[in-house]
Amino acid sequence: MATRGERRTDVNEDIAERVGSIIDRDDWGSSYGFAKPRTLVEQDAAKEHAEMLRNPEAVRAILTEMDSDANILLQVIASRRGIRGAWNGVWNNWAGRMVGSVGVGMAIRTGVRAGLHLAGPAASAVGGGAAGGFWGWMRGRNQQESAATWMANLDILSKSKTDMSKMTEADLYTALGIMKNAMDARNVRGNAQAKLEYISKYRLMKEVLRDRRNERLAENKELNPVMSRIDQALADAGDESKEIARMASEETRETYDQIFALKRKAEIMTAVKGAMVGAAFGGVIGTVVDYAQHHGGMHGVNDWISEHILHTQSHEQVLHDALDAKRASLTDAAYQEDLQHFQTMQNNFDVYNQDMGQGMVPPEHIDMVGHINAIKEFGGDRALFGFDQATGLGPTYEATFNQYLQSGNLHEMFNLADHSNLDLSVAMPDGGQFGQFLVDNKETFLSFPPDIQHFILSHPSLATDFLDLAHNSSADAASASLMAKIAGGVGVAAVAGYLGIDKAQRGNEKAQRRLTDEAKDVRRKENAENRSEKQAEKRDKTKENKENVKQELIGATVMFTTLPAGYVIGTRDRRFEITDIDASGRLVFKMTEADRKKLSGPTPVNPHPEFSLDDILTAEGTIDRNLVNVVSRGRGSSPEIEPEEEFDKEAYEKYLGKKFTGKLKRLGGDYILTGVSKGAPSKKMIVKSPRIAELAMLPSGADIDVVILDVDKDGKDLIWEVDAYINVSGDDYNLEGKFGITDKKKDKFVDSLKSLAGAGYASNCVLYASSFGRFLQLDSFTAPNFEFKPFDPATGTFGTPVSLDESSLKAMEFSYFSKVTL
Amino acid sequence: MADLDDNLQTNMNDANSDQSSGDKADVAATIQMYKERLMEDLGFGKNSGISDVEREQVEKKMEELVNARILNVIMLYLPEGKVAEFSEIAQKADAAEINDFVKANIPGYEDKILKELMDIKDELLRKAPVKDGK
Repeated sequence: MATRGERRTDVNEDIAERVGSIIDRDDWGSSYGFAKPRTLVEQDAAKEHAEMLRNPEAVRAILTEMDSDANILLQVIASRRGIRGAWNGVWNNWAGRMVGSVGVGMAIRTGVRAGLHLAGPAASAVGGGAAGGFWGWMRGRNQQESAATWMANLDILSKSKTDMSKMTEADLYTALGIMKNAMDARNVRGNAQAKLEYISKYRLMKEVLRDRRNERLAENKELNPVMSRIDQALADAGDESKEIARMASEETRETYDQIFALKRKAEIMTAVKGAMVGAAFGGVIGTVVDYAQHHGGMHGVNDWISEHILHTQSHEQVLHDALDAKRASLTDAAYQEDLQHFQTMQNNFDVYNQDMGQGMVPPEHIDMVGHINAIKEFGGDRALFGFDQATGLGPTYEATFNQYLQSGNLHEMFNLADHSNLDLSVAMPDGGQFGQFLVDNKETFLSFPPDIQHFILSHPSLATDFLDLAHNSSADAASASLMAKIAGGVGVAAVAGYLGIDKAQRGNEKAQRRLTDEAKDVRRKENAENRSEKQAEKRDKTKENKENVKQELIGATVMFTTLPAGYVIGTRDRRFEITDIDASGRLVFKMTEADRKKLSGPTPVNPHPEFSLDDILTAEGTIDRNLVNVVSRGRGSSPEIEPEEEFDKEAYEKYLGKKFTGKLKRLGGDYILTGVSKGAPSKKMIVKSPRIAELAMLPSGADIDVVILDVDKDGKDLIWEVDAYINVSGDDYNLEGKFGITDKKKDKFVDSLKSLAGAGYASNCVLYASSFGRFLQLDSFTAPNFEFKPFDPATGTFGTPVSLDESSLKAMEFSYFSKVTL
Repeated sequence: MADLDDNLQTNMNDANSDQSSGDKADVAATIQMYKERLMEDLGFGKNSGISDVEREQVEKKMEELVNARILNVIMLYLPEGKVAEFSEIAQKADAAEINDFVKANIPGYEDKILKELMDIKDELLRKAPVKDGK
């Protein structure tokens, strides 16, 4: 014999089938628009459920996390594509950073321009398939709103059949069409009751039209095109509307129950949360947990409580009121079980209150430990409570922190915060750092009682609120107000949400700071290298020029255009022959007989002007031709000095940019690529690359792919400058770096692997640990384990998957590679 | 609803006017459309009861996310040789010029953007927790 549930299922399936058949033969093509009522009401139930229970804080946390992931991926992509430098140019200015928004805005606008309209055709022609889906989604709400607008404008929902009969056929027909569209798109919002009303009005409109059709036919009047179409539809439709309405009603009854149950669950959760407000004591918490666990579908409440339970102060009255309110709401006999549990809670609570009143609750029952753990988990520190963990007495951390704060010693505050996992660098609304914010408001902050200080330190996002409140009243009043805000006014859910948000935000901000810092470091390093390189080049060039000048000037005859003041130009005019340039750089001129006479006369006169080499050079080390003309060049510049024969690269240009594969070996001081693939300039190539030494340490069987960047000649040998990569099953991977066993940066790297795996780019990373002797290609991450595919370079095949938990990975020494597309 | 329709209407009207005018306003308005639609799906519609402050916070995060994700799309598909040029154009902050550039250099650009927006929507709705204990 079928059970009640089975019978109901049979009935439902039968209904669904019949609805389907009605839909199939509906010449309106509309299926009355509401498709299968069960589907619709289920969708509504799900949506309503979601709307009831999602909360903005949680969504913000998810968005923050997604944003963080996107930023990490942004860096990864830039790095992988080798465009980090150029991309930093985009990223380092506000306009560049907003390019994504501009891009999406323009793309959407194009769609709008292309014909998105309230009742217009799908705008899928805007682009490809994705556009169709997107605009369908965007139009969904629009369309439903359109239908609602029509109904509102025509006042459909409040119109009786008589009222409707006064409407024009065109209005009725248009309203039907719009309602049909909304229903076809399953975008009729509202609960099941609203849907039934919707259907009811739809049916009424059809009846009005049917009546008109009958009137016209009775009067032997010709039907206009609209009526003709309605006539045809009505002729075939039968009394399906009645049938569907009946079934909708039947179906929705069950869904109503579901919805109500969901609402009831939400109320219960609210009551539990309310209880949390006052649940500063273990006994009450235990009761609440017991109650929560008793109800199916509320798994995790225990965890929720342990994570989010807040200390501060007892709020017995709040709990009491919540329980009273809940009990008052549960008048239905079906909820007697609930009532019993609430009664139990209330009884326990009453007993507890009596005990409290008589001083019978020992201090150890206060859930201080749970609170401390919760705060610590979210970034605070046990020491923040001012308890010395060893003795349980005396302020330690707090006093020290406040001392630094009092003196405005940000440096030490940050140091201390680092030790306690507090994040003082969190950005405040004004853009400044949290640490500075505290210093700026230290008088107010220090006026708070310790637990408020703790809370602010753990919740930077609420700091401004607290300070604002404090500025509006006395410190005592503010403290009381803040306490109320923490535990009452804001509500535990909000505070708990903030806790989660703080954590997520801190994580995100840290990740962003790390990425920003890394990007800055890279740029700083690049800039420094460039500067250093350019300066060195300049120095070398200047030196080289200077040397050339020396060669040109020694033995040369020069003519100075400007001579030092006081120098008397004699018969030689301005011409001098330079015989040498001494160690100090002074130009030494040829001493003629006349010069000697001047020098040895009774009044010695220097026959030559005083010039140093630097006096006649430009900043680049070349001769300043404005000061001196070289009449005849010196011996050093004589044509007998042959320049070194230049290496002609032209013959090798065809190899530049080409990729070849081989095995890397070290021979003497050189790195040789042996067995190089076909088309290479040689079977053996001497190669150089920044990390070639490290690549040579890999298993000798590993295939190494090189892309030729340049070639030079050293004696008889050609030296090939290359980019070198390991080849893992046909893909190229660039050696990015290596982590030692105790490398602190490894933790962040391991975190980035999770993001990589989460974003579907797991195979972009390969590790090599000498302890494995194989390359480990990342496959996935399912907390706490990373799955790797080991690649044997000797056989070129993947072996049995390897699973490494996070801690094991962090304890390993390994090199890491990232996939590149050559 | 009114806001969305207004936005649509604004854009429709603008389609008939000088395209170069009001670009910035359009961009903001169209992104707003997307955010509002997504807020609706999240259950944070106009009458959902969430505060204006919360709405603003969620929408701001949404915008940041969309911006980062679209940047990712651009970076993935923009030819390597065009990145430097794009960097210069991006700094001018001229929406029309940026749009023209990426459209010219990324085949199927709009499709890719719209797909990304749908992916964001799907991912967010999938991830956003529904605390019913399930």
